[in-house]
Amino acid sequence: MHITVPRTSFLQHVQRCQNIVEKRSPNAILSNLLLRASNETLEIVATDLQIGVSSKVHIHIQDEGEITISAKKLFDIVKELDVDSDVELKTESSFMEIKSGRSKFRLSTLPAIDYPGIPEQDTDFSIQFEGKDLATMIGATSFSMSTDETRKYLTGTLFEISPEQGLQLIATDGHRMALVGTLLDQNVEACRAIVPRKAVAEIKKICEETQGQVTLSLGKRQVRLDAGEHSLTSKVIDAKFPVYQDVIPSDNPEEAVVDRIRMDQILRRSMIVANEFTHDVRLQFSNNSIQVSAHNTEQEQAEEFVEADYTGKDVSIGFNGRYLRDVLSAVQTERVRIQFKDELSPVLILEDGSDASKYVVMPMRI
Amino acid sequence: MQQPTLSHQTILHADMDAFYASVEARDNPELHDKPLIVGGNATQRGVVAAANYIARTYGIHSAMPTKTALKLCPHVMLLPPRIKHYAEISQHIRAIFARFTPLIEPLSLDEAFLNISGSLKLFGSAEHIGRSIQQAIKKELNLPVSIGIAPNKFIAKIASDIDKPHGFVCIAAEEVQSFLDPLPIERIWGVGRVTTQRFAKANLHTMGAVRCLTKEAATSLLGKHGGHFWKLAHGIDERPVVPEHKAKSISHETTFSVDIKDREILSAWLLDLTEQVMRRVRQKKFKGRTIHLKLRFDNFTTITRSHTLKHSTDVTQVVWQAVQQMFEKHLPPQQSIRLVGMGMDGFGHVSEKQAELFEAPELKKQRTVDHIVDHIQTRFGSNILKRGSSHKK
Repeated sequence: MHITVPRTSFLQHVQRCQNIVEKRSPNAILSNLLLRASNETLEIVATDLQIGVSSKVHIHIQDEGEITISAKKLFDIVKELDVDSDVELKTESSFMEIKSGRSKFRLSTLPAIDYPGIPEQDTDFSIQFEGKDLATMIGATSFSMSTDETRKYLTGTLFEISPEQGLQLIATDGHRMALVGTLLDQNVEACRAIVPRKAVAEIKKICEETQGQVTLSLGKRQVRLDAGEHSLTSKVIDAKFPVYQDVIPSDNPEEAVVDRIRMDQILRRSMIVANEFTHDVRLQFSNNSIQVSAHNTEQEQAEEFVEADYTGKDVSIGFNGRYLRDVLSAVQTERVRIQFKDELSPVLILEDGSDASKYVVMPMRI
Repeated sequence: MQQPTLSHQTILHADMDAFYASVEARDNPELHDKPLIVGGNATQRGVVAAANYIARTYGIHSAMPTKTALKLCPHVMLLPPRIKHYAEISQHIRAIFARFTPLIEPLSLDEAFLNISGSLKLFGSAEHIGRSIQQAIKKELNLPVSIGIAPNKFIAKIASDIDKPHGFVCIAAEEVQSFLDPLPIERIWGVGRVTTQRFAKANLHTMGAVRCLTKEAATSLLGKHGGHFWKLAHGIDERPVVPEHKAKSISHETTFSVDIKDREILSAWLLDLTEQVMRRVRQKKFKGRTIHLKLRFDNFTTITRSHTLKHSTDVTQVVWQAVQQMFEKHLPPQQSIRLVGMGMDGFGHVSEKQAELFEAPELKKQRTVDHIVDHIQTRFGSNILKRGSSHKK
């Protein structure tokens, strides 16, 4: 293999792929990237056996061929090269020579034939979607995914497509849940997949960098994203997602509307003296105000009022303050609606003027 | 010969003298000079939780069945335990300890290790600190305590025990060997009847005799624990004092005065221990994943078995099911048991107060039960309310 590629675009593609490479894999070849040069195209492939990413770039090829090389070393080297230079890559027996300007490196390689590669596409249904919008939807839900490996089915985000609801993303750690949805202007079939945490993060990054539409495909075993030069394939979590519809309260009688930024500031201040592990804060809803208070085991306290549109009965509810702050950061509108029943029932937080995003937070007993 | 080194810490072991009995005698001065035991009812297979020193002259000791105690001394005063009351007093005792060091490791309501190494500059000599604690407990609570001070936990515990009641024994680093050498080897923790016989066969009767062996000889004579005994005989014990808030596990165990074979009774004891442990787990707002079961057989072999749950929990019923299964699996039929214990670790910091979105209704019910039981036990003492089968013990 012998190719020449502009440093800037090469770096971008290498970076995209090396993100998913396991830093310390017992299988040495999994620390490598696969470079495949043919038909005036360089394809860079990375996989951790769960997720595979492929990135294609148009280049000038002197000699076609394929080889694998350490992802980290290649990335670290290309990163340090002159910004405007070209990078020349040439295989020499079991090594690869990297030249750029006056710099010259020689890295060891492993044969491409041993590389596991990316599985064939195995999905049932695809939709086209604006990349930036998908990134926003992921950003508005992914914080609710669980990190508890004992509840595997909660460690991903549910991607659900249905004719009635369009595309919905749902994430929950068992204490709070985030749901965002958007209707689709294309005919769709019902399908769903739990996409693992790491793939969710990579899909978001690719979507953020993509101008225009992406193709999202869901299958029983696989999820796939095609976005311009990049494509990502991931195994899905083979488990049953909880019946999330059952925990979205539909008849919470009370509603308080409050300024989002102001509420967040008050929570941030109050939590300075909240219990450092449980972050519990108390929200006391009363006529036209919410009193936010927190205290810790050393008897330190915080207390502050925020104006709110509220005319219901007096209710006091405990929360993990972090859960509330996560929701307030995810929501886009100036004001938010907080709907509740009593101190122990699920609380629903909605954007002002739209029910497309739903955030359910379970209270804490106080 | 290898010469092990001694670390220079100052560890204080405080052990209340016949704690429950002393509290009862203090609260009922007319009982002051009478034999007195605190414990369970004789008709319900209760055991002696504490015996005052007069009762002990009749041969009564703690963990003995109440029935036996009444036989030994028919006119002994039997009082039911008031755990909540003792727990309050225990809090006061800990507050006294805390005046001298934050490094307190309570072993139970009536016993604790204190690391006072860092307190010597501030409060004066170890002896002065020990005397101050003993006097404060006498003056503020009118209760007797025995104190042992030594370079490590092992020696401090022996020291507090050797001159009970009102004991006060201070062993300096250079006195360790002369203190330990003449002691009978039964003083070493973990040495039971069988091991004692093994020592005796090897003509080893004192700690000094064990010390004079080489480490290799100790291992070959005394088996896999030989190295451990040899270290103890040299006064080496490197276990640190672990303050309770840093504890990585919570456990309880109980030793029977007579070996028990009846599985139902053993199971009842285990349930009681499980309830106590889980109550502490909930008090600390922990949820644990790993459950430990400890069984010591009549031949003094001890087995510990662990089980890791799929999810962290603080629900007594969930843990109890796992404990029961382990117990059934690991206890051979017809095996007599000398000690049972259970513990939990693998704690995360999810608040127990945080409500769950997808909780099974059954689990929700169990959690409510725990909540109510905890509340009642906190108000009225832990003996007022128990799960059905723990009554059998």
